[in-house]
Amino acid sequence: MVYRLLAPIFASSLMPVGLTVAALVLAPVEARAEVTSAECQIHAVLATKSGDGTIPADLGFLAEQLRDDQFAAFKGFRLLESKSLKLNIGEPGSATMKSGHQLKLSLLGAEASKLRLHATLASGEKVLVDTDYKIESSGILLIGGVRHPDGKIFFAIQCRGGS
Amino acid sequence: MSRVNQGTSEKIQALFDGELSAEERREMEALLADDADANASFEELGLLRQAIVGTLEAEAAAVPEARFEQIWDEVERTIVRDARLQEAADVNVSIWSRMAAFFKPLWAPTVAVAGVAAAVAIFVATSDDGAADDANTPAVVASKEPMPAPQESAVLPAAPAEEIVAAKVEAGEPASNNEAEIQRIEFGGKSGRIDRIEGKQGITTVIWISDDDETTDSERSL
Repeated sequence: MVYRLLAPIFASSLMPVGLTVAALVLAPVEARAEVTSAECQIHAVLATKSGDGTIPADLGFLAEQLRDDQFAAFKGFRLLESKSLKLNIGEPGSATMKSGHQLKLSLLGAEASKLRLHATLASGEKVLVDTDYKIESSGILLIGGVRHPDGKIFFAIQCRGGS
Repeated sequence: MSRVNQGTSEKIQALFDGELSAEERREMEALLADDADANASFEELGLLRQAIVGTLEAEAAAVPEARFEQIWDEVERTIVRDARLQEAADVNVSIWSRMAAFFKPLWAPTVAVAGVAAAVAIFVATSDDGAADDANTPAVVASKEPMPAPQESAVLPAAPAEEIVAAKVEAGEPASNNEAEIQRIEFGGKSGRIDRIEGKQGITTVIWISDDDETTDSERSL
């Protein structure tokens, strides 16, 4: 009878101890996961309404996305150019593309395995889109539909976090 | 016996039980020889004892021998058990052993609570705070293949901005959840929308910029 009364009291008193121990154990893990930089690739893809629907080999990493119904209106795809940016927190990067568009990227921080980024796509002085987003390291964000004489341009942004 | 006074009756009872001294016994024997009532009381006591003993002997005779053996076996077992318990009680147990024995029933709930606490801490420490409230983030996590490096022919040779790094970015490891969580967005053109593409590689977020009339409507138009 005494044990039945003491057991929950004793167990409850150990709850803070267990939480503290777990926090101490996990603290180094969190510290190791801190991300302070990112390496980003920016790919400009031209989607045209003429073509046989074949996706070139250099766009293989986007093949699944380009075959989606959202791109059904386009029959041809071509990788216009790719650029790399290295970002540090507080040090944004900028890439001016051949199409005349300028893409600015900033690493805002990281939460767990995700990167917090700020992206601005501009055409000349005109800002087309300005966004803050969070994405898994190496995840791809597509920004598309920018007018081009031969079709539409899509930008694929892929960033990988580093420390 | 009622004809004998109280003191004489008590002495007769003591004589019957053999509790008198030699002198008292001689006095009582003389009294019994002279007093018929006292003698009758003494004889009544003898008859009473004989009746009781006879009854007990008759009951004992009715019990089979096997029953006696069982009783003696039980008695022996009881004696051995008591001796063992006494021996164990006489052992000088250390304070730590007694404390361990006292807290032994508490180990199970202690371990259970510690385990639950650790699990909660791990969940809190490793969970993504945006996963629950993010409409863009699906519950299903999918892997994706790493992005291959573009072919050299597709890369422009010169980069006008000084922020552009010439170093080639290696293909990233597969992301566990590819969908982007759009936290804030502003379209400078007419409109835009956020869409998603679900595939074997996971979910890819697409931001569509509508700068002309050719774009299609979306249920997630902003």
